[in-house]
Amino acid sequence: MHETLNETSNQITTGAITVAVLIFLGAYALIISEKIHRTIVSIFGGALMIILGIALHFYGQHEAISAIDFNTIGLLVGMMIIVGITKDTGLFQYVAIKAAKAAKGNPWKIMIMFSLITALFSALLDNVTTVLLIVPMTFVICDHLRINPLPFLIAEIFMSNIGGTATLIGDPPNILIGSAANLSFTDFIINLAPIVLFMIIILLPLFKWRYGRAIQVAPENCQKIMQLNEQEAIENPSLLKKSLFVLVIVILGFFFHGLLGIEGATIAIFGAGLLLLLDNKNPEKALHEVEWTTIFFFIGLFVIIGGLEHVGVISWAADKLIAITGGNLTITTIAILWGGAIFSAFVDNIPFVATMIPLVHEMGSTFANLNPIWWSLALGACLGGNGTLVGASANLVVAGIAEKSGYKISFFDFMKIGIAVMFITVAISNVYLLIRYL
Amino acid sequence: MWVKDYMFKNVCVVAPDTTIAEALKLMVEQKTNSLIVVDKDQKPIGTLSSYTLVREVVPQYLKNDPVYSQFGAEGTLDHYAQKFKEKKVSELMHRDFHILSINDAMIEAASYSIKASRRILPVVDKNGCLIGAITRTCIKNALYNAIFKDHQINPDPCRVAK
Repeated sequence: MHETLNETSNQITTGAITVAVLIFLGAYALIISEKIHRTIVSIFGGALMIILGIALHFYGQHEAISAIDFNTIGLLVGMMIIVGITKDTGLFQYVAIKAAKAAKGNPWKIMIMFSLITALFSALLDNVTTVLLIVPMTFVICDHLRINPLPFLIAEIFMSNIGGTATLIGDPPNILIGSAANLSFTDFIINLAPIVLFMIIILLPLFKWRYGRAIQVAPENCQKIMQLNEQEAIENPSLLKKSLFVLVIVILGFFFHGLLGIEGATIAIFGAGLLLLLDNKNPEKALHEVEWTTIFFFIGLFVIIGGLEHVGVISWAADKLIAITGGNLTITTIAILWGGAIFSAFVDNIPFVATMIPLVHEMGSTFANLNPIWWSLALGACLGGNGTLVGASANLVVAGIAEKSGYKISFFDFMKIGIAVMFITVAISNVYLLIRYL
Repeated sequence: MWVKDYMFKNVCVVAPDTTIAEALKLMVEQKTNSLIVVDKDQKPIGTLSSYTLVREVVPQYLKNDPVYSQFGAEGTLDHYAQKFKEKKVSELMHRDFHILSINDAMIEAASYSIKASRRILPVVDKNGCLIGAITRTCIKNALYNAIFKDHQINPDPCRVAK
């Protein structure tokens, strides 16, 4: 490893490589162990990488700043502000009740409706926000129907991770990939949304088979759903109109950002600024809704991985991976798909994808077209999140609310169906990648 | 203004192994919104307020955003009340509370009462045993006397509870 690395930079010493790798592995181990909050690990690890980088001449402060992908940060912050304001308008609750009534209170039809709503909203908002909005409504509907909400909640977890896979803004790994690979919102829609839709169509009958018997209700309970008044959900009609106006502009902006040559972050921040201006009150509250712990986690992570790149470890690892797969694009793509899925089922997919991105870039010297690899990375990392309860933040959020509300989702019960869902969706992705790109 | 002038002495106390149902019954019977949890030596180890009970009975899925409760099913409150009635006071009581002594100033009581919305602050003797408590009513009386200096009320006892 030492010899290979010395070829990339004459000034980098073995000590520098060892230090950078140790910081990276140490941070990774601490993030996986969950003994220390991932954001604390990332901030401290990033700072340590810079200080030791300066001392050992492998990394500087300006290089650390350049390593931060501000497009990802801007996109996340902008969307968090927009969503933070919009979620209080009652739009989501309105849509959910309307859907439950359209299903005429039939629990199986409600499960389909809520699954589709979760997938759609997860594609446009972040997954955690989506489940935070749909889960309380699921409980309320199940209280009326007098049935156990767990089958609905589990279906929603799967749908949030699958729906989030469909777009550039649906899941943080996609934001990272889109920004790094210069793939537009439309690229994601064209390449990932069709296969995501197919997965949903395949999975819904599976939910019916698995949970159909558990969600039978008395007809009089169905009637109670029809008595709910969705209009009551709209608490602030004026803000709702403003939010919808901005959301339409932002989504249109995303559709055309590739053509216009405007980055996703610019559109999201413009949307956030416009909505703040139209609302014109309490910016503190809106900014408080931004998940700063996630944002700082990203920043620290970019700095840590930047250090690793500067000592040449990433390009060395890329060479090794290509050597293992024999420089074969098909094998490399499929290996990243399955490897990413299995890894993401147990470990946070954000550091995984953030590490893989420079590594895939390095493969550009071997493969003329990296797009199949980018799509396999996105599909593997996002869909792997369904494998276990710890696979994605949304899973843990749902399990947390359910448990505190008296319904426990056990790790192994979830894993039994989660692994099956992950396997089915990744297998579908595998076939899709082979047919379309390889 | 001193704690010794405004505290009330007949504080409602419960043991940590009391059930929530029994604690609630005591609150209703004694017309009080807060209890002090004491150990065998009468030393305060926690406080319990009606707010804590309300917070416990509202399910987690409604806590983040009460807007969903507008569509709540009939019987939801009963359902969750049944679930938590057998819990022990020790499971729900606040363990982080401020302890006052009789020679503390009322500003200290007032300041700590707004911290985390604590409804009751225990007052102890030199041995740490409970001898009284300051509630918001006591602070309200102190405030009254601070403003209406010509028409002072007798704050001792602020209220009498068994």
